[in-house]
Amino acid sequence: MFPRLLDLPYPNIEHGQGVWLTTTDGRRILDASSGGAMVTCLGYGVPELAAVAAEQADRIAYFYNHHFTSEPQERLADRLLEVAAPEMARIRFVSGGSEANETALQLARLYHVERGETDRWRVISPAQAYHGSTMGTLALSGRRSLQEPYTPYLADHLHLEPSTWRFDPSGEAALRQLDALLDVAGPETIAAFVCEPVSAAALPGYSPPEAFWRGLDERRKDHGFLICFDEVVTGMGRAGTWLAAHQLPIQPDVVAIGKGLGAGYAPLGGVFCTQEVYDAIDRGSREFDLGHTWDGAPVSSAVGLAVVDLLVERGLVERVRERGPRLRDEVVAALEGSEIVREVRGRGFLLGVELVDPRDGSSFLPVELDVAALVDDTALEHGLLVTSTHPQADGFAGDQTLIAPAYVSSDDELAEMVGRFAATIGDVERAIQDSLPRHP
Amino acid sequence: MVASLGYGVQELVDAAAEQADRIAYFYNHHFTSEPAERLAERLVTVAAPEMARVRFVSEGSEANETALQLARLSETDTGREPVR
Repeated sequence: MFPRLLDLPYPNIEHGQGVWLTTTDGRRILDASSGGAMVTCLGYGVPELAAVAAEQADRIAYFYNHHFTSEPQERLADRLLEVAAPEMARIRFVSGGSEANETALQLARLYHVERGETDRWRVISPAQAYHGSTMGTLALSGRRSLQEPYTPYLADHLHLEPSTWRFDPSGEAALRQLDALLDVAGPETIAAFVCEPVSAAALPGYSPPEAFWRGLDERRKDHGFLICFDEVVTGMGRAGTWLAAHQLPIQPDVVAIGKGLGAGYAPLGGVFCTQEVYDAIDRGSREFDLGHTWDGAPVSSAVGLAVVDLLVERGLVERVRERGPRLRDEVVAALEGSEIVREVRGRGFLLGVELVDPRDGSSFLPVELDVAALVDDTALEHGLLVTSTHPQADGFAGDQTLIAPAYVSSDDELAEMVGRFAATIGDVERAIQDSLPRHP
Repeated sequence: MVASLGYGVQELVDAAAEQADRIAYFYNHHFTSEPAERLAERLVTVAAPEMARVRFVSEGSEANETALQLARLSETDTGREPVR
């Protein structure tokens, strides 16, 4: 195996049930981040999903959707447009989030070309973001630490600083920066504004202030670019509505979804678009034939359909909407008094905990402490899986931890996650206090 | 050029269902699994004994992107001046 980190002794997972993982040496880990990547929204070992996949694979698992279609693919498209995004007109299926965002980008470019605006190719997007690991999607963030050493392959897009409490609490600075970028690049060259409505890996639980969304909407009207939402994490109920866009005063033109759509039982993503975007291709070349081998495969589509059915039947999006704010309150209460916790933010079951230097309560923690890794490792010692990030080198955010439980987590399991996380932060805080004098 | 074993192969359906019952997914940023480790060993034994390692992705576009990234990274990490 060629692992991601060559020095990391990866725990070996034998099986999972609900929100619990068990290693081959018998350790149990409580999963507060849905498979570690905000995917397994229905938990592990869901017999309905394994059965649906097997049944469809018995019938036919795969063919290339360049040639054929299938009932599962057609029905999943209809169901998603009916249940998850009735404001959208069409969906194209792909195999995962990177592909979904790449496809969104290609679709935005094609929309303008079909309308004769061939100069439009550039994207403006928030700098502190993550949209995928492919060359197209790596270029959509403004983070050199993420992009190096692959920058020679990346398109030259334009980026905004985040409107966090630290830099721009009102969102006005971001709008001024957006205007400046439009001016410099020439608005006639901008194809799309791409962003996460609620951020996940790079800035967990963050969403810009309402003024920013309203200002962005006005500039779309003035300048004619599209708005593409990366809802790979937030789509399918994670933020408490089927799309996080449904909570914002703006409607995107294109939306990428992934993760929760296959729920960890099939690699599956999708790209929604509005009727207007579809019409541009319908009235133009009438083809958008770029694709990937597994796009819309019968077995993946059948799993996606069963995921939607389970989310609806069990009222899980509603549960996330109702339970999310209380979960956030519980995390806040459990961390009260901690001098390294500055903010707990987020929507639904997508929460972010921002850590700061306890000496002033606002600076980034020293990057060399790698507190993010310390949090994740300490959490694992407490038998808890969380996902942290430490992008200080890029200058936009410090150490943060993401909490994103499966929607099926019981109240007792959520309480256990909060308790183990508070114990983790307590241990980390003590370790930081011991280290800091050596890092003035 | 995908369905090299044809359609409706019972052994493959059974293996997928059995594994999904045990565990279908987690992110390999955090963990590894016996199936992934065993598949890697088997491939470098049977299919490509001249190779040392394999990294798994979801399909062909991703495999080629990863190959490109790996080529670039190996140039950078060996201290050779990368071609820009």
